Amino acid sequence: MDTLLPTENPLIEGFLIERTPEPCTVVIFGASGDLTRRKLLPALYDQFVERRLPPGFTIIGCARTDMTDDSFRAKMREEVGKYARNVPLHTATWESFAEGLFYVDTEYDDLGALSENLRGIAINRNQATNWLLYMTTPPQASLRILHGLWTAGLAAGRPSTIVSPDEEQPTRPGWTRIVVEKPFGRNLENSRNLNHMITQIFKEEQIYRIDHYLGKEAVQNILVFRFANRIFEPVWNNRYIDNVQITVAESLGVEARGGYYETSGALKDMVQNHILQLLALVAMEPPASFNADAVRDEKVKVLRAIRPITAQDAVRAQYAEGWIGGQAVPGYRAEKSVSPTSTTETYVALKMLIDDWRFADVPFYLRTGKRLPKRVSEIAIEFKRVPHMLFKQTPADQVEPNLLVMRIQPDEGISLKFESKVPGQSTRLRSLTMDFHYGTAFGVATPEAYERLLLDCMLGDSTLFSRRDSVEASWIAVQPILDYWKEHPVDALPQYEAGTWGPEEADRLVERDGRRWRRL
Amino acid sequence: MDKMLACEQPREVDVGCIERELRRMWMNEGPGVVRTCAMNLAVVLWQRTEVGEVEIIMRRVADTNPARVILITADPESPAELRSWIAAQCRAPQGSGARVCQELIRLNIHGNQVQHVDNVLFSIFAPDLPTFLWWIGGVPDDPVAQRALGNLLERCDRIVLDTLRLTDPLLELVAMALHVSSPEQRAALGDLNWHRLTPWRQVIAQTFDPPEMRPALFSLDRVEVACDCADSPTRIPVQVLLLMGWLASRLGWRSRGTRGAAGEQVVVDFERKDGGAVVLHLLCHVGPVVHHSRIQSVRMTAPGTALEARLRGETELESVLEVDGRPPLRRVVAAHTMDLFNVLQRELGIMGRNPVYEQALIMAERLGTLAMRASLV
Repeated sequence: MDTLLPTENPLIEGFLIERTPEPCTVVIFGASGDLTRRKLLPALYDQFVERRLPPGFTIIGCARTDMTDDSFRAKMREEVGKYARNVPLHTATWESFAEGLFYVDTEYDDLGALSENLRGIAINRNQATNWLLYMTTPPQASLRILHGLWTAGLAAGRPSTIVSPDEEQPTRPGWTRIVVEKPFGRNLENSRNLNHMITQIFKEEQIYRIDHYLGKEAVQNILVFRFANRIFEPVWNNRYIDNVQITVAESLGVEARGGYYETSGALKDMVQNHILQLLALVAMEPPASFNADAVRDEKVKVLRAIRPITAQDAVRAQYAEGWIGGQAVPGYRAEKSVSPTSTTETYVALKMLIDDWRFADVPFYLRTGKRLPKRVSEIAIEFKRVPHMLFKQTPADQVEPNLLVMRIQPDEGISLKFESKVPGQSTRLRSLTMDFHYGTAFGVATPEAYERLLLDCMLGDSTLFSRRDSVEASWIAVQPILDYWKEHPVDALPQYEAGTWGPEEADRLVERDGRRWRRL
Repeated sequence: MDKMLACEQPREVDVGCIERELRRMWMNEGPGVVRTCAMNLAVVLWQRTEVGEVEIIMRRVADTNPARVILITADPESPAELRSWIAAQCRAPQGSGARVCQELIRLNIHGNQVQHVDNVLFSIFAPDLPTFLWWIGGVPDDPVAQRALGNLLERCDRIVLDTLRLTDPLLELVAMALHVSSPEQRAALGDLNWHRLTPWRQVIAQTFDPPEMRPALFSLDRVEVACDCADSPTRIPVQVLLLMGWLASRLGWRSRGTRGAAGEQVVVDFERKDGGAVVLHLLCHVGPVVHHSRIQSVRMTAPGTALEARLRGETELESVLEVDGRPPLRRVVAAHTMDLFNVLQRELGIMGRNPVYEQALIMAERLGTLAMRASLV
């Protein structure tokens, strides 16, 4: 007699910390590149060591570089040994991980060999036809991969193994998900075209547009901080907040990425994705639940509410030669693969306004740049000053406003600045800071963003990934500036000396509103 | 190496003045010292001598769990004594100019003073913080200790025991099972031994997670668990009982009794939900101690399927899955969470009750009783 079996695995319940994905194969396109060796493989290895990956877990690296399974394994062993958290590598554990590591040398528009490998692995190794396809390649190569996936029949499959009653019988039992790395296009039109092409082949629920910023602990903590602490909600609006400053500063130049950066620039490279995602997390309304669509619905509302930026509210500049950490560094135009007449911006500062009830008339000042004095990413929320000063010995305009700072990197944490009485007979005030550091409070290294994001892809949780409408809304927000810059070309951009905090124009952008950039 | 701060030197203080002396200690330090405290972490060594080992572990734990750490040795049979010491434990996180410190309090409470152990603790818990109590020494049968532990259960959020180290396993399992069965108990029960089982449980759970493996999971017919019983060849380690308790409670197996012991083996019969039979073989190795009172290997079979997992050294677990018609699937995973520091770390990350553990514990206690009838516990 047939017995109906429960569909759930009762043994999996109760693992309070770990979640284990279904057996699957991760295919990495562009496997000979930097992202694979420095981030993806170390992240997957760390997950393997910590038993978060299922039995039979398999990785196939795909690239056009001539390598065998063995040479790929040897190279990855070296790289994982350098970049993973769980080092030194344990030989038996690495060997077990490496048994599931394969390499396919392939042209991207002919993925027949990959198809054979996937099916072979399903038969011989993990019995799984769950595929996570990860594109680490530039957009042009990604388009060829999409075409190759389609013609090789690898794009079939569903977002998850759960079949809804009205769904057609699947052609194969497993799921297929595709991970797309930024940039998600070069402008609004191009982004729409790219999205259109991907959605011709995959359903939106199968597409994971990865913005690694969203995998950072400190970024995830923004939601927890806002929505798990009731005391902040009453003041999280234009009645109490004066302005918000978001800074993503890098001390590095373009390094070996000059060729790519020439086609991108700071606005596309940082603002359109990372910074607008941070802005959305700060400004969004509370979602009804903590599921992927509820969170992303609220974020996209914010992005759509951004008032079109005018040219007066945008500053761009380029770094000139200067000094960083006591070392002389070249100007942008002297960097490798950069045109000596380049007008690509390496710095951008913007003033944005959000036309909604919560943040109407609260300026969001955004700035990002390369070759700034130090690497720091943070969100600073400056509150309004007290309306009336009781303590006459200190003039009201000398009392610092309360400031809440969420540090994203490198020293993740939160600080709150407030006024306090200096001990003594008179009433003198001084600003103090209450500081929370992740490293201090929890004493453990925060995991790499890619560890969390890769696991989420395998688990089918897209909360921390960008949805199509969100990507397009971000492009809509910055497109007026891109258009203006295109229509008003210049021979040279304002320069800022490497190792300084950007051009004077950026200071004026804020000072004309009677404010200042936060000193970092 | 960083220079030690003055506050890091233990200083004896009057038990009644601990709070005041702690405040004074912080006031004497400069602005570059940051005090952190996210929980109370009390450790009671009741008639135990391993205070040195425990202190080393607590210092490691405190590095990653900012807490007020209170370490108490209590022995009613020693001459009366009530003494306390305070100190700070500091570190300099990378990239931070400040020294990050937390409080360590050491108490010796001996002789007739032990009846005040709960009162002393109540007076020095930092307010409004989660409170963990690691009780080393098993469930006490001494009425004084029972009263103290009972009172502490009212005030603590979580009491942590280690069933690897029970002195009278069956009796203590009964007491623990009674505790978790009681809806009035405020404190959740944690068990370090449960965390040592995590790698085993994960390997088993993950193996049967693919949907096509589900039929095998629900038609398991034999489970063999080999363990090291060298210190007491007639006693089944609690870790084995917990693993079997977990399997039986998760899969809805009902125990049907034992078929008696043969040599170093005990056989327990279960009935599956579908009425099928599962036979459990517990094999006690009496050779040299490899892993004291711990599982060495597990083999589970269903028609056409066999999973075998075994320890490789101290840090790795190797599993091989054999399914008819397929090549064997082997993997090696880390099992380093089995050491005391790591299991304690894991325990401190949990708040609230863990129903999966509680059900496993209740079933383990039943199995223990069955096995006792076979004279093996």
